[in-house]
Amino acid sequence: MFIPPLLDGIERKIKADIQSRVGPPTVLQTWYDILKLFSKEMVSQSKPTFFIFALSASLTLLLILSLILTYIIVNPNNTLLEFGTTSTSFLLLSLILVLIISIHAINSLIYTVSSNPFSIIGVFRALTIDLMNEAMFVSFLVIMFSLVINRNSVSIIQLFSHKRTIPLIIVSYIPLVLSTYISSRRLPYDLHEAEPELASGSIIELSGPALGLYIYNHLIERYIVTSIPVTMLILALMGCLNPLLYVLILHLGTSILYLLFGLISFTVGRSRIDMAFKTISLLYIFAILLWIGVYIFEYIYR
Amino acid sequence: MNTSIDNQGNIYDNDALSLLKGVKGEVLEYTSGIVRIRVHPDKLLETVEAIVKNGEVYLRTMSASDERSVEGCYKLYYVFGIDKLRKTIVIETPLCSDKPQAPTLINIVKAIDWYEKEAHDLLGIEFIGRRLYRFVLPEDWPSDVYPLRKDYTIHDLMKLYKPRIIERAKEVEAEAAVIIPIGPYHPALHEPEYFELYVRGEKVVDARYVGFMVHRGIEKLGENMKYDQVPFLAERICGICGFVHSTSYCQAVENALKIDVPERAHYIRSIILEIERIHSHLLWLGVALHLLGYDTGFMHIWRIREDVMVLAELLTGSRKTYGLNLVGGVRRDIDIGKANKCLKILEDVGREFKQLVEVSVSVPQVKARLKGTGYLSRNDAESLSLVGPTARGSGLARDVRRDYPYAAYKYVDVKPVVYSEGDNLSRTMVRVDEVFQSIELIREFIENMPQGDIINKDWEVEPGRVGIGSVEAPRGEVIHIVRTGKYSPYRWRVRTPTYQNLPAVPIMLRETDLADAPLTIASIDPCFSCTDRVIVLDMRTNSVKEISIAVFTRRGLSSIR
Repeated sequence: MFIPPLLDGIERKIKADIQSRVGPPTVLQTWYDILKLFSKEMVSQSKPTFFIFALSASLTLLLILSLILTYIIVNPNNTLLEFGTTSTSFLLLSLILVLIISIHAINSLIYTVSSNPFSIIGVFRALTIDLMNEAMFVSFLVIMFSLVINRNSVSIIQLFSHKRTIPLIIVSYIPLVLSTYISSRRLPYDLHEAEPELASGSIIELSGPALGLYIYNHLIERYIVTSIPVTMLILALMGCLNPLLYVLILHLGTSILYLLFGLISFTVGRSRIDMAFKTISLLYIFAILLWIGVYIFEYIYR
Repeated sequence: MNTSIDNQGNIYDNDALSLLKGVKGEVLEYTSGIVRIRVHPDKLLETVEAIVKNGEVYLRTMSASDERSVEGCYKLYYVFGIDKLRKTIVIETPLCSDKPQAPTLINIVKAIDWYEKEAHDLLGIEFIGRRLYRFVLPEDWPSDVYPLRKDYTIHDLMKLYKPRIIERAKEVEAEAAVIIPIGPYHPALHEPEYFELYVRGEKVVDARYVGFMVHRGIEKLGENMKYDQVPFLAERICGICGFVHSTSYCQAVENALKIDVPERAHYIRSIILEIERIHSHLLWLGVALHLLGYDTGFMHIWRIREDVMVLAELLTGSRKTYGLNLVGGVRRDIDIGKANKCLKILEDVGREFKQLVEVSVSVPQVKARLKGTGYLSRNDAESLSLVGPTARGSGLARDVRRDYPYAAYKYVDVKPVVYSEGDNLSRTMVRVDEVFQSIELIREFIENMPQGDIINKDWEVEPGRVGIGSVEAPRGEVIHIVRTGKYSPYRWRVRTPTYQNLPAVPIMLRETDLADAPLTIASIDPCFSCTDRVIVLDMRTNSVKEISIAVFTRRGLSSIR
């Protein structure tokens, strides 16, 4: 709960350094910003309790998601990647997906409360990108599982544990990392709150504690979403270390990936919704074709 | 110049004479690049039609003036330019009636629209054949008070105008409010502007601009100041390109009074004008990249710009509002040490800027969102008499430095940077190339700067003379018209490039994506008045604190409901 705003502070300092600026006075600045927003009066067009309730619900779901991810990696009998062999894996994976979609749904509900046109445009942009991202990622999963399960009748973990499949492991992570990056709503996909064109867009009506809660929520969401590929990597490479060490590796790995995502976002500009739609499709199609190519090369020609 | 000499030894400009076919008026002057004609209002339409038939004629500015106390009439000055002939045609139309009336030119010259509305607002001139409405002045300005008429001094106007802010607050039941910040929304630049975008999905169907949020009355203020005080006021018209205004004003007075300005002063003015262009273009490019979400490029461009600001301080003593110009020359010289340092800084700026632009323009999102967006055709640019990079980005090679050379530009070869695609990328690339061009020009000016005086103080005022001063500002042509008075300018008319270019923005916005609207608005590099106003209203104590002259927004409080 403490790490995401701290990481954001570090990211802001790195960004400032790259851009030849001094940046915030300390890496704790994001925390100070959030705390200050909490101390402000609540001004709202709608009932303030609605925002607080909805944001709290979203925050709770995020924390449940983080607990599940932690449980998965500390559980020595983990079965998440053993598709086709246990029903627990489907249960856990479905739970993660349902939680992420629920969080997005609650956030969308908060945005649409306002009749502000900037907010409405912002939320439709966010929904478009989320739907596109989720649909393309699910397409990849369906293709991957149907090919693997039908042909080999083995679990993903068995497939990945095979020595020859290292290239396949790498290409399997590309769509996952891509999906995570887009979900983290960084440039070029931060269209829902593009400040110069939409005056903060979907969050334009939020201020004071509601805005503070939103920012905190958003940063935790970004961190937890970033931790998913790291969790998967740990599971794939799991040895016989102390499970608590995995938690440490999880946070360390997530922090590194989080800052890496930050670095990528400094080098790009903001997309446009029609361009975003095209680029997301193209990136996923490229990733899926690459995966199929490597799969065919590894298992059919060899 | 194509000339001929008559039997009395008078020299005639044949190009100028050819322009006068069909003109029904008295020719006052037709040499030295300016053709001045006095035309009766009844013959105005016919005359303008005859001039416009020459092709490639554009409206540079129009000024209305109350000259009842000296000539018994109001007067309209229409200034047209013909780039290819490097000629300026000034049509003077006296309106000798208590209720001044003139025919509208809107059906012949599209760009006249705002000028006529402004003349109606500020001087009460009726233009027959068109609808006129309150344009520049706030809607609660008293009717029948025309501020630029000589009947009112600036102090009279301040007493006459009482903003109806408390009544408005009660109308909208805002008694509970303590502080009301007034100011329209700033979609692109942090200046007072107001655009209404009519949007279907993410596409802009149409757009409307409401301007003149802050009318500062600078022209009226200048009529109460001495000739050498006005350059300092003129420089405050704009916080980015103030030097072009003081230069333009000084040139207008020097032109009216035929003052010989020392060559060295011309060179110094030209150097500073180019430095101003570099820092203005760098500022704009930074803002454009910010609007495209590429903040890394934005920060680095502004880092480079900082060196240019330091350079301006080195040469003039100030980062901005240099206070360098006076009528007749400049106040500060550039010595050899400063000149060498200037060349060194510019070399570094040029090198770094080149690398940065190559990287920035190749960022996929930046490239994709600049290319093909905010399209403006050459025809539209011509018919609206657009100026500066906005015109040059649509393939119109219009540049005052080449077409109507002033200061030291008559000694160098300025080739206008022209891109013909008409999109945001074209306008961006015009500015990018102009940065390099300006660096080269400064180098040329420094190398060829002659020795000598920097100011001519030996001049006297002759009232009743009219002069024009124009400068190619970073945003396009700035043009000032001065009619001299005994101690102060009798009438001082300022026309900024944004005034000329803004009517093109709604055209550019049509069929653009909403996401590209801020960049498209910014692509003309608009420079609205740089001063927002705030009125603090405390209804509990029933007191109003006016932080400055309380000029209310045109839409009043309804705009923030």
